[in-house]
Amino acid sequence: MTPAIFATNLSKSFGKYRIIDSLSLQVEAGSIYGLVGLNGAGKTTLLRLLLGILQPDRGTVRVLESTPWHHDPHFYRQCGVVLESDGFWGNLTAEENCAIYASAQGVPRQELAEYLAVFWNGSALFAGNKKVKHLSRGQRMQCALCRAFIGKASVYFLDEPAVALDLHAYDHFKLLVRKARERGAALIISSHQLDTIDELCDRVGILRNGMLTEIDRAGRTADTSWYIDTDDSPAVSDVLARAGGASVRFERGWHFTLADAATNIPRIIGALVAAGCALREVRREEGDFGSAIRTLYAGRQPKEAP
Amino acid sequence: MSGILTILRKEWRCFIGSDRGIFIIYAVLIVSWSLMLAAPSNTTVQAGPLWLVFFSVVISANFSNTVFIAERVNGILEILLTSGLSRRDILYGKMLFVFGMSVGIGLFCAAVTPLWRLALYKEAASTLTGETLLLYCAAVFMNTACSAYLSVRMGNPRLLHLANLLLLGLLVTLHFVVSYYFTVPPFILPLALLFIGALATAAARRLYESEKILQPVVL
Repeated sequence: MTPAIFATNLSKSFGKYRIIDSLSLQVEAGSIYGLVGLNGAGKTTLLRLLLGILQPDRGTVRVLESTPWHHDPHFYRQCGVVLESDGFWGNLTAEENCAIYASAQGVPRQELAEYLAVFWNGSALFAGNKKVKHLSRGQRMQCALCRAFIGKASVYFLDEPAVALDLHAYDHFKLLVRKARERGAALIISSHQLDTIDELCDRVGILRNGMLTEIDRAGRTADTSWYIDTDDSPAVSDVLARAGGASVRFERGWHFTLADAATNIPRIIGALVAAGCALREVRREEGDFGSAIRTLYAGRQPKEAP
Repeated sequence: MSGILTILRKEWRCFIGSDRGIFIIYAVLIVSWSLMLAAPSNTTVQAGPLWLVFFSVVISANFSNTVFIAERVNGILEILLTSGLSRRDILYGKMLFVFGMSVGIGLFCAAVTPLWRLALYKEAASTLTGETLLLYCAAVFMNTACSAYLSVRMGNPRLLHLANLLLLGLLVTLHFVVSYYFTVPPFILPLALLFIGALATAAARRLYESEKILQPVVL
């Protein structure tokens, strides 16, 4: 199957600075690709290249079998975007902004009304004919998301889409993203919020020195960190070792890494209960994704699975 | 064509939604301009080419600021470019709006002028002719096209109105000098303005297709 987004050997320089260097990327329809990287790593530049706002110095970009740099309006009508700046006409209300965008996208008024009714019914964004310039930062971001998901795009480019969102808005954002994926859309989410990336994305790439290093998500899942709050007893250590636990240490509970957690965790729990240990808490340790990313930011390879 | 209409509708809504102060400025401009146009030809103010082109710069600069410059500065243009409208429609829609509004205000001034003449000078005839109106329209077109081009080309787009004024001043002065020595048909100056406007439109069209449209803006 042809990938929805396909870039190969992509390079882009600004003056003497090479921002993107021989980068290749492939995102299939119905999947979400997470893009992370330090400030200035080139995430926004990469999105602009994929959207055809910038022209690559070298390499090929194909999105939905179109070349974005050709600026074909039909191509853009299949795209949903949240870009670096929200880009609203401040003198207009959120609804008016969305209506103009819908008109540009060729989305009929009826479809827009249905979309707003289904996904944004009761939202404060549309209450009281408030002009966008009077909205808070978080509300403007919600408005940007509302605009991006108008119509049924086949590909989404979301640059920092979860910034400043409150809990309800964040849940709503996740709902929109998941609905789009279920529909078969391909999404690229660029974010510094690693929780968002970890939670939503099927694949994650780290942009560093203009190059994209993809994290092996399967490998990462196989090497998750776990915490069990139980007795400090040699029996626990034995159970963990037998189940394949590695890097086992006791520090206010047992910390270890584990492959194939879906199978092994129930086995460990069963064995500990059988050994008469009092189980107080079992959880996957948070931050393993974040620490893997930080390791890559620092230029080191993540630890290999045991 | 529907893309151009979308842009026109958008620009009109944005204009209508502007702060009240903008409308007060336009009202003051219209009153003062029409009063000056109403002055008898033997007074200090005349509806000559220099004055006409100066007014065209003042009027179209106001619209160019929001339509061409502000949208680049606050990132709206980037959203517009990815919205599903062709870049040609975006450019022509914006130009048409600036041109239409500037000409509309100019014509409104011209329509009000005879009333002032009648009220203040007890004269019914207007000094405005078809030629002067043509010159005004041609100057507005050139301003609009040059604004579209220079708003992308210049690192500091606020200077574009100064550039427009200099260019127009140069052309009108040249026209005066040549007219002093030779007989120049009255349509030559408007024709020259239209020609330069057409060149600037073509250049703006090229820029809108390039990535220069996103080059950083210095204000």
